[in-house]
This record gives sequence, structure tokens and C-alpha cells, in this order.
Amino acid sequence: MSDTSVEAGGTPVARRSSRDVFFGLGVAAAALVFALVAIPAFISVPASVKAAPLSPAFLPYVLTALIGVLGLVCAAQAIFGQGVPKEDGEGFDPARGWPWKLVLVLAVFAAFWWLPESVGTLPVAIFAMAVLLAIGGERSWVRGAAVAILIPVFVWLFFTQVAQVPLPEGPVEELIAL
Amino acid sequence: MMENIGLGLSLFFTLQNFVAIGVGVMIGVIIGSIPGLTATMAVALALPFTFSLPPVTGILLLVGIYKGGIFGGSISAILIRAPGTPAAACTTLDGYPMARRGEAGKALQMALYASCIADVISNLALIFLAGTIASFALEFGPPEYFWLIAFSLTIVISISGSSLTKGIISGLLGVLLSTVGLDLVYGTQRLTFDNFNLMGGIGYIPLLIGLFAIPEVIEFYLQRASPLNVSSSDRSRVSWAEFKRCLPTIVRGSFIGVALGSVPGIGATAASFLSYGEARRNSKTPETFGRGEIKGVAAAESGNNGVAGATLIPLLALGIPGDVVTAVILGAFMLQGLTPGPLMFQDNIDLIYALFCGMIVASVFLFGSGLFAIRYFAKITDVPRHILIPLVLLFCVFGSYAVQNQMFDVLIMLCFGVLGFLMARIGMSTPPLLIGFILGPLFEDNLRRSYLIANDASVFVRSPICWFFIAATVLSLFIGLRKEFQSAKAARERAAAGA
Amino acid sequence: MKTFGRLLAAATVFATGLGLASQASAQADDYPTKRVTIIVPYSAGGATDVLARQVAQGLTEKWGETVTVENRPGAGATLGTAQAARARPDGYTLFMGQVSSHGIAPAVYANLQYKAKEDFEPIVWITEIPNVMVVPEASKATTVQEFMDQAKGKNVSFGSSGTGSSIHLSGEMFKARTGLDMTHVPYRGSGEAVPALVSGNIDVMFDNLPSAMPQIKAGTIRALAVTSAERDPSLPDVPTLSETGIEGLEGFEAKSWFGLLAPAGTDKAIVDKVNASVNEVISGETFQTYAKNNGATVVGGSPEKFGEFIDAELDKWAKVVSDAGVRVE
Repeated sequence: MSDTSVEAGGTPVARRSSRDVFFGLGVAAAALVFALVAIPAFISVPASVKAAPLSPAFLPYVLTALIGVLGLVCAAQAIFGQGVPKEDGEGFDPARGWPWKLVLVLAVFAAFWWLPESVGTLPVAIFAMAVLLAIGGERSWVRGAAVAILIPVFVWLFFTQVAQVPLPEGPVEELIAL
Repeated sequence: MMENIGLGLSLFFTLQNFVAIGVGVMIGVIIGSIPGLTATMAVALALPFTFSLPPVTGILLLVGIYKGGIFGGSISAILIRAPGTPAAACTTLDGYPMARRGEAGKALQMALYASCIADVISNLALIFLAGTIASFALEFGPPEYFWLIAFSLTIVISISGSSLTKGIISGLLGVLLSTVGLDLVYGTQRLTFDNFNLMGGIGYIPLLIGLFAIPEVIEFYLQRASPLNVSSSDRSRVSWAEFKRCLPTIVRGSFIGVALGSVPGIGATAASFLSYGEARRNSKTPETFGRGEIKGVAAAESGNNGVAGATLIPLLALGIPGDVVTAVILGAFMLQGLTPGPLMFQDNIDLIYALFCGMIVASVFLFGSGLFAIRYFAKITDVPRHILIPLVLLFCVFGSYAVQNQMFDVLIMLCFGVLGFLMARIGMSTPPLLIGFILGPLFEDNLRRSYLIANDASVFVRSPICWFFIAATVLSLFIGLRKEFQSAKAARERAAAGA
Repeated sequence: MKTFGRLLAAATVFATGLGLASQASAQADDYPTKRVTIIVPYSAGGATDVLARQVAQGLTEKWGETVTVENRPGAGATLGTAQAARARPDGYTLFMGQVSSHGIAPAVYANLQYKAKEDFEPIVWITEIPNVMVVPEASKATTVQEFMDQAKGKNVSFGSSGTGSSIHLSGEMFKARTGLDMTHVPYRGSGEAVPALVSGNIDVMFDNLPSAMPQIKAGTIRALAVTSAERDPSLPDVPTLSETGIEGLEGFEAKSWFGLLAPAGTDKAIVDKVNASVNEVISGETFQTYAKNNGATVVGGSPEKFGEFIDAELDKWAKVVSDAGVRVE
């Protein structure tokens, strides 16, 4: 695998380490912002706290500090060549733009969170299944349609009828009730 | 004594009991194999049915479900990288790479062997050592727990993957995420960002499913040419030589499971990771772990099933439930008008022996239904991946919802899915995040409780158990770090030589 | 691929069309005509859940319509309670209320997402459970007075199942009334706290009677007093705190309780029908056995009785919380 990444873009170690420098510095900066802004704003410390470790903010501060320091260590390792080269997947290159499939998958994710309560879980599941089958390389529309309908129906029946999970049914509930 | 055993046996040997165990194990394996539907949930849902059954039958039904569920979790962990129960998270590390390599059958078999052996060892520990172990467990107060957890956290070093620094960041992030929610001591909101849904904290099952299963889903759609099928029909089997090679790992894992299971509150997930970390540390080829090392599967599954019997030790011997499942089983005892604890050994000893018989039979049934189940489940690998992957997503979504019947958990699952994907892309290992998240609350709670009961720091060195775990922590850090630096150095030299 | 895409479009239209379907309305005389759900704000397997399932089973047998339990745990009991408060008040969503959701939480948390009184219609009070003051076997105290004498001038720790639980607040109430110096040590659930008490890591606890009972019977912890107004039949020799005659403890009463509620706006006729059915279920033999095995006292009665009781509880806990200074803003 490492061989292919050499072909794809110069020496893998160099490309990886510049990514690690950005990552490390990014982590350190995020930790700093978190400690200075988020912790004071979103952890209230009661006045009655007796010892420092009893404070609700104690562990978050310690953790954030450690994360920040390790971010710097990570950047330093990359700069001074201490990082371990390894074969990971070809790096995600933002310059190439977001692959359209990724955008669609994320859209399906959003639909799964946003829509079930208004439309019902089953229609969303059928729709998502169909979209994913289409971008996953399904060629036959007969098989595609059959799978996209039958599998969600089966899984849905299992969860609602066998496992008794009250999945949001949306307007379907009203149809059943009528 | 013999007379009591005789009474116990006659109480146990009824058709009804065998059916209860068989049905329980089967239900457990199936429910456990579905992400989001955990053994805990299955046991809780079966509880009302036990009310109308005789005590032994009812409780054996629940125990069967529990044991089946802990094993069942490994099935989906291996086949689709979605741990069916949290305890199976560790099994994904090597089980899934094996399945991708076309060795799903072998991985499942090894998981089953390791589970059953650990289960038997765990049962024997329960039967013969319950009293001793239970009174030892009571020696654990907040400071002792604190050091035990500190020691357990050092396994992050062994599961950090390619970058130790990033692995530790991942673990710390996990602990930080676990602080979200209502504060234990003051009841104030912590890092909830005024979101009402976050007041209960981040659900660990949605987190787990998202972190492990979803990155695979995303990756699939990013491949340029999607291979329709990776593993053809799989006939791989565990060979006798492989089994012998893994046996020491399994036995060690079982004992780790028994030890952690008998201390209330730690749980099967931590035990499986600890067992895995130990196996990797003792291995001559630690770099094969995480890439489909069969010993990794053996270690993880023996660790979590070793807990299954041992967690009943504090319950039966002291009447103290060690985790949520045993709390539900305690409920089942109470519904029958029975109170587990020392008194039960005096008043209902026949019942105890009947339960012991049932647990051993349950191990046998687990083996049988496991063999049966993996024969059919392994066929999942024959499903074309472009159909399997959306199906996995469907189970992840429905399963996350099922945990608390909250849509918000689906959002959590999806967010951690994207996070896990990004982490994989930058070479940051995800298991440390899970371990940090699970052990974080135990770490912090016991730190703060220690201060509350003593008000000064000397409480942290108050007992030999404290000192023991301080030494273990330091030693584990030292050995672990040295080993990682050595292997990092070796890897650099190899890379330099290659370039 | 193209045809498949068109099929997708058609499916989308169909899904949207479902949104226009009309609503079904419930009527009291033939209620229930479909599945009824009881929301439980705790996980499956807990005390509230088990109780709800007993009631649900009884109602299912009685009505011939399925009554299911839906667990919506999180954030104490407040998350599920808030969701129940927002449910449609058609009688098909009920709520298993308890001392947390309708007694303590409104007093402790300033920013709750529901109003205990305005958002709910009480249906029926089901059971109650006393709390019991327990000390480890190793403790020398055998009475509350002895405990007080030994505790004077020392920092005593009391355990609980969590901040804002009835176990915690009973301790705070005791502390405020006696003036003892006591430190609260919270655990996550009684299951974690009881072992800490047995091993003497904490000095005292005001546990729910059912979770303390196995250890009391085994002799590993000692019951000094119950927190209810009357002695409990399962511990006839243990006095109430009020009986001890210690200054400040007269009239001390703290207990856990459970009862069924509906979202505000539910038809009064439906409330009465559910009330009558539940009263029948809980006076049946199955439920009585269950309650006895779990150390609970069956209460029952009219919706009005339950409503008045909830009002009294809200007032009582508001006072305890403000005296103890444990309100969370």
C-alpha cells in the first residue's frame, strides 16, 4: 500500500508529516480555545467547592491541558521526523474537492436524523436504502427497487413488532389507526 | 453437603429448565448480534416473563440470555464491524480484518471457542471461590477503585495503533467526552452547551456503534471502483495448531475477566480490552495485532465472557449487583421473594446448586447454539457489499434509536461515525477513545469520592491494594512505553532501509 | 439507473403525501381502541420500569388492547418526563410518575423542561416505599441517638444513589434538621452505594427499603429507623425517625412513591376510566404479591387524592431543597 502512495504524491513520509504538523498545531489551538472559552462558559463551578479535585471543571481542565501538550508533541514529532511512517489510506485531499458520493452519504445521514419524526422511519429508510444502492453501484432497477423496499420493511417489522421498539412512525401511524 | 447437591440436582433436572436455558441462549445470541439491542436490554425485557415461572427456571432464562448476548455481540463485530454489544467492541479490532480477508468463519469459531472456555472457567470460579472473591471485592473503596481504573487506563498504550501520541490524545478525548452531562456531585450542567438532550450525557452505545461501524460505511462509498464482493464463500476453520497457539491467551483472558467481573462496576468491555492489551504485550509479533491476528479475537472474547459468570459472584455471595444485567437479575430474585446474599446460602442452598448446574449446562448450550448460529451468520459475507453496507447503516440507525427511544441518539451515532472516519484518515486510533469514555466516569467519580470521604490526599495510599495498583500502573506505563518506543524505532529503521 | 432514479422520485412524493393523512380522535366511551403507551423515564429493569410493566400487563388483560412500556431514560428522570408532558393528551400516552419527576426534580433544577403541576393530569397513586436509615455492621450505633452521639464533632459521610435522589434528599433533610456535619457522597445507583456502606467506606445512608432489605436481612448493615410516618410491616421493630424523640426529627417524613399521570388536557372521562381500571389491577392478587415481594405499600384511590398528594410533595421538597441549599441553577 505504501508503494502506491509514493507514486501518488512524492515521498509518503514528507506528505504525512506536513499533515501531522497541521493536525498537532490544530489540536493545541483547539485545546487552548476550549480551556479559555468553552470550559468557563459551560461548566459552572459552585462556590461551595472545598478541594480542587472536587470541582466539576478540574478534570476537564487537566484533560484539555494534556491534549494541548500532546498536540504540540505530535507537531514536534512530525517536524523533527520522529513520526512513525506507516501505510494508511491515501490521504483525504481537500484540494480535490468533496467527492460527490461523500456529500450524498452525509445527506442520507442528515435525512436519517432529521426526517423520521415528521415523515416516519420506514419511508426514510426505504428512501435512504434506494439512494445508497444507487450510488453503491446497483445496476438492475428491478433488483434495486425490490431490495430497497423489502429490506427496510423487514428490518422495520423486526424492530417494531419483535423487539417492540417504538420507532417514530410519522403519519403512517394515523393511517394504521384509521 | 451431598444431600444439598442432590436436592439441587433434582430441582434442576426438569425439562422446563433445559428449555429455558436453550431458549435464553438462543434469544441472547440473536439479540446480542444486533447492534443497539444489548444483552442488558434483552434481560430487562424478559424479566416480567420470569414472574410466572419457578425461581430456578426464571433466573436460568435470564442467565442464558446474558451469556448468549455477550457472545452474540461478537458475531456482528466480526462480520460488519458493528459491535452487537459494547463488550464486543474489542473483538472488531482483529475479527473484522480477518473477515475482510475471507476468514470470517475462522474468526467466529475462535470467538466461540474463547467464549465457551472463558465461560466455563468463570463458572468454576463462581462455584468454588465465590465466598473468597466476594469478600475481597468489598475491600475496594473509592481510592482502591481509583488506582484500579488508573491501571486499566494504561492499556490505551497497547491499543494506540500506529501513533502513540495520537492514541493517547484519542483516549484523553474519550475521558473528556464522558464528562458531558449532569455533574455527579453538584448536579450542575457540564459541557451540555445548554442542550437539553445532552443533560443525560452522551450515550455510549450510539457512540460505540458510530465510532466503529460508520467509518466502514463512509469508506465504502469513497472507493473509486467498488469491489462487489471481497470474500467468496468462506470455508476457513480454526486449525488445531492455531487453537493450541491461542489457548494460553484464552486462559489468561478468562482470568482477567474473572478478576474484573468479581469487582462490582468495571464490566465486560474493560475486561476484553485489558485482555487484548495483555495478549499484545506478551506477543512476539505485536505489530500483527489490529490486522487480523487470531489471538486478538481469542483475547477479546475470553476477556468479556470471563466476566459473565464472575459478575454473579458479588450478586450471589453478597447480594450486590456488579452491573446493570445483574441488577436486573437481582430484580428477578426479588420478584420471586428471594434475597441473594449470605442468607441464601443458608436458606436456599438447593436453589444455589440448581443454579450452578444450570450455568454449566448454559455453557454447553452456548457452544451448541453458537456453532449453529455462526454457520448461518457467516453467510452474511456472501451478501454483495453494496447491499450489505446500507443494511448495516439501517441497523445502526434503528439500533441507536432503540437504546433509549431517542432520535437524538441517532444524531450522536452519526456524528461519532463522521468523527471516527476523520480519525481513521489522520491515523488516530479509535479504541482508546472508547476506553477513555467508558473508564472516564469511574476514574473521576472515585477520585472525587475519595476526596469527599477523606478530605486529604493521603487516602490514596491508605491500603496495600492501593500500593499494589500504583506499582502495577507505573510498571505497565514503563513497560508499555518502552515497548512502543522500541517498535517505533524498529519501524523507522525499516522505513529508512526501504527508502 | 435512470428508471431507478424516477422510481425514487415517485417514492418521495408518496412519502410526502402520507403527511396529509388525517388525524384520528379518541373518544372516552370506547377507549381504548388502540395500543396505549406508558412512558417510563428510567431504563428497563429498574424499580419504576418493573412496576410499570406489572401495571401494563394487568391493563392489557383487562382492556384487551395492548399496553406497552416505553423507556425514555436520561438526565435524572427529567428527559422522559419532559417528553411525556409534550405528548398528545388523547389518553394513549400515559406516564409513570414518581418522587423524582413530581417531587424532587422541580425543587432541585431551576431550568426544567416541564411543569410538574401544569403539564400533567394525575390519574392514580399506585405504591409507596419508605426509606430506611442504615449503618454498617461495624458501626457501634444501634439507635439513632447513639449514632448522633458518635457523629458529633466528626465529619460523617452519607451515601446516595445520586444527587437529587430521594435517598440524597432524605439525608439532606436529616442533616438540616439535626445540624450534624455530614458530607454527601454520591454514587450512581443504590447498587453501587450499598456495597460502599457494607464495607464502611461511607458511614450512613437513607436507602430505599427494598434495595437495603437483602443486606439488612443478612446482617451486614443495621437499620436504625425508617423515614415514613408509620413503621413498616416488614421491619416491625425499627422505629420511625419521628418516634425517636430527637429534637428536630418530629414529623420527619420522606418516602419514594409511584403513580400514573397523563399529559394535561386529557379527557376527564378517560382519566376516570384509567383510574378505575388501575385500581382494580392493583387490588388483584398478582399485583399484591408483587408489591409485597418488593417491599412496597399499595395505595390506590381517586385522581383527586393523588393530585393533592403531589401538591404536598412539591411543597415539602421545595422547602427541604431550599433549607439544604442544594438547588441547581
